[in-house]
Amino acid sequence: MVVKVYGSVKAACPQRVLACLLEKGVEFEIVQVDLDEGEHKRPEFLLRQPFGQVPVIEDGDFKLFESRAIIRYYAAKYVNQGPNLLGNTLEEKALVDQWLEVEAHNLNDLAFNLVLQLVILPRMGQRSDTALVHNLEQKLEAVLNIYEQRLSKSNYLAGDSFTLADLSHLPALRYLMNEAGMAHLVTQRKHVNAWWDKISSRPAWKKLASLAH
Amino acid sequence: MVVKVYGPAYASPKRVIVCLIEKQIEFETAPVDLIKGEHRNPEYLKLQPFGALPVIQDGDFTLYESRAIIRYYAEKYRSQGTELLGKTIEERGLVEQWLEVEAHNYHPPIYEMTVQLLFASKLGLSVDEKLVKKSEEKLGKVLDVYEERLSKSNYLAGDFFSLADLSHLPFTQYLVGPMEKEYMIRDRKHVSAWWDDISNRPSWKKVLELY
Repeated sequence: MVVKVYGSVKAACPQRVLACLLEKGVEFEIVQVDLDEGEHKRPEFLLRQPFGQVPVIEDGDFKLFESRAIIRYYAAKYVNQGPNLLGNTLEEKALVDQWLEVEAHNLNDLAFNLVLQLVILPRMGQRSDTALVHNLEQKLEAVLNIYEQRLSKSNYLAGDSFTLADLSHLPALRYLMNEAGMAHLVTQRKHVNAWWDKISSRPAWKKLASLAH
Repeated sequence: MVVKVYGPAYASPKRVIVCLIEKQIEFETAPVDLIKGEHRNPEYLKLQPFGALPVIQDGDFTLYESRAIIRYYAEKYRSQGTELLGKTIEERGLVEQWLEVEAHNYHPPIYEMTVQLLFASKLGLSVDEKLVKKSEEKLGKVLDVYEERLSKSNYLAGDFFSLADLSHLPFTQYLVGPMEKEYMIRDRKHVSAWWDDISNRPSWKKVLELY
């Protein structure tokens, strides 16, 4: 049975799940949810995800939402298939969770709000708040300085292999670097830049990019 | 060697402490005074470079982010104390789902309310009433979803207590206690019963007694 992923191939949170499924070689089908039309806030969708958010997966009878829960589930279920995205020891796994939490709490909101200000509001014909953008950028610079420190000591966030922790950063950083024009945040940091080159060159991510465009 | 938990006076470290007690793991604590800005000291930043609480030291192993720490100990000590991860991979998936819900939907508004109502004045800032009102409305909507969920299952991930429920203890305690917003819980029949159940666990009562 093929995993159904509810969302859009262009949206960041579904991309987190799709990248993971591609890495693990798990077959999936995408069920479009039209965010522009507000489909995710309608009663039928709220039955699937009561907070009105994408993605949701349906795997036979099993349903799950929250992208970082879904990737943890599949990384565990298919631990022996494809690359191991969870680390080799319990301590490495803990570091995977630590950096997944860092991404979720320290980077995600800043990135999301920058993309909102620089990409989404202008698309909707609304003005962005320059002072807010500057503030967000400064905060993000401070966070990425810590990443630079970390990645000067280890090839990937949780250790010497690619894991869910690195994967989780792909969608938001891509948006920041492309549509939001903030590539300098990455390219000006030697180790962050090297890490970005490695993780964004992975075949699974390239496959997703081709699906998205 | 005993696990050392930094910052027990505050909410997020309590998330870790209640987990350690449930898993019958010995620990010690080290104070960190946020009002004095001790989380910004160079020695602390060496342990937790983002300057947040908690961080743990377990022999050579240092780990931060409370929800990463509780996952680690729940798994490492799987065979002792309370099972906090469910029994199957699917149950674990649901635990992860509701932990993420807590982190992304529940935590942001309740954290804003905590900062405004419990810490602003201590930091010499005025309370942003509009922000409090907006956050309370957001939290109310989240609690409505919880009410629906808990009308169908005793705990968030299913009919078993897990990390997902545990994760809610510290900030919800602030809500019903010093923030004086117990009505948000009591106005919702199933949320109220769930809160009574989880907050009366011996582990949580121990945390409140100690810290």
